[in-house]
Amino acid sequence: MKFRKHMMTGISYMIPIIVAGGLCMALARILGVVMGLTPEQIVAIGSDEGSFLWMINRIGGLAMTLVVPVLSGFIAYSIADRPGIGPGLVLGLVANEVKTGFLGGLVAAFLVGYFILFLKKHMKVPKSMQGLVPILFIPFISTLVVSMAMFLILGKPIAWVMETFTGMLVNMQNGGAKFGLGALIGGMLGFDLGGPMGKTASAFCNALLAEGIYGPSAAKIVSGMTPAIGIAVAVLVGGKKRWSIAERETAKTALPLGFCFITEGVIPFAAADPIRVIVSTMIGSAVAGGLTQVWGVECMVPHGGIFVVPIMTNPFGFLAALTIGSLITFVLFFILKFRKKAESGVSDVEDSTELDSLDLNF
Amino acid sequence: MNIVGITACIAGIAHTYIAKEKLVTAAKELGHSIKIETQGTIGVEDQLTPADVAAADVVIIAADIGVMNLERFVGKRKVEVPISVVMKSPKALIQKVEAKLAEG
Repeated sequence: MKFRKHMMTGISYMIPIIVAGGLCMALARILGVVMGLTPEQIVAIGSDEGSFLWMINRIGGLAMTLVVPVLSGFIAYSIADRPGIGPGLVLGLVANEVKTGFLGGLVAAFLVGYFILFLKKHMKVPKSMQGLVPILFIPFISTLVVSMAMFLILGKPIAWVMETFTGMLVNMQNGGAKFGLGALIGGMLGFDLGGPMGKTASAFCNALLAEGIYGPSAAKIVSGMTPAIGIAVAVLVGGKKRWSIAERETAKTALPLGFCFITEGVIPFAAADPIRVIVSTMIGSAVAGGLTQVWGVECMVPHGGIFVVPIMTNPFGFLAALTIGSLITFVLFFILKFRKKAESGVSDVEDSTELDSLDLNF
Repeated sequence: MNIVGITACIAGIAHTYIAKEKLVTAAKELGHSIKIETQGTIGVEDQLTPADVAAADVVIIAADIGVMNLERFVGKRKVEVPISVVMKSPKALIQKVEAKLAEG
């Protein structure tokens, strides 16, 4: 349970950076299309140094380099409090350096966080040097030791896992398993709704973009949109009788976010009823992701939701997959979560099962 | 009972605020006074003042992520719960907290 809390803290602080960076990169490409650039020129935005579009794209690129450091920094913060932030940020950079991405950032952050806790507890120094512990010994020792562990021991195996997985995705893309590839990406995004597994799948798709493989990006985008659209529509269609004011307000927020390829709006529903929500979103996302690949939809942009559809190859294929995926999620959730009355605000009956199992410690 | 607390969820846009509403409503119905600080993506809102904290009998932290400035509550009776507990059973939570406090 603590593990999840630490990871979620990191992700919580990471989200605004991904959104800012991803949207800047997408904006550069959309503006490129608006300005009438050819696809080749748009791919080359990144090397057209000093141009207006290069600047916007570069902002996004720079933001993306911060994603793993901030993830690591705030996981370590959640574990070790303030002393965790500095070393955690550095470890994120090290994870980038040894090409281990998200996975490396996660592992390194947990290591450095608990290592700092250990140092805080057990480091014995003369009283005269006590003041140096937080300002000198802890940041220096923890950063050095865990970073060296990443370089010397952990970096290679983690990078290997990442590479193997990426290689597997590329093979699927080139081979006959197109639907499977899209469905895998979609299933991962639909499973944790903007969580670490989805972010991992996204990171792979972004890495493939850099390799000039544009299909998975379309699968990623469609499957990040269908959950919020499907669930939100199910709640809004369900009406006032079946859903409380809070739930419908949440749905109203989630819907436009969904169209912008931000899945997190569904999390309140998933947190309240994980199984029904995740079953609905995973199946919808997997089918949508698979269909984009079968229909040859490609997207050169890592982010942008509905706004980048015009610049995709086969935009109508994308819209069809989006509609079908959202419909599947909508129908599944509507059936699985069928109820006649809203559960909150109507009766005073509370479900205290979870509370009962908790031992409140003061 | 004089309750203070913090709510914080992962995305920091919805649950944080719904949980606050639920706690406030439940506490008022049970006849307690309450003040809740939200730590959402937008930042801290309705920040607890030192006076709020000093006057509090108990601190309820309802969060799925690490929250900021916990050192304010040193020496206070403090309970941490996942945000889903507040979503599902705010009244029962407060009653259980009250019972625990009465035990001593």
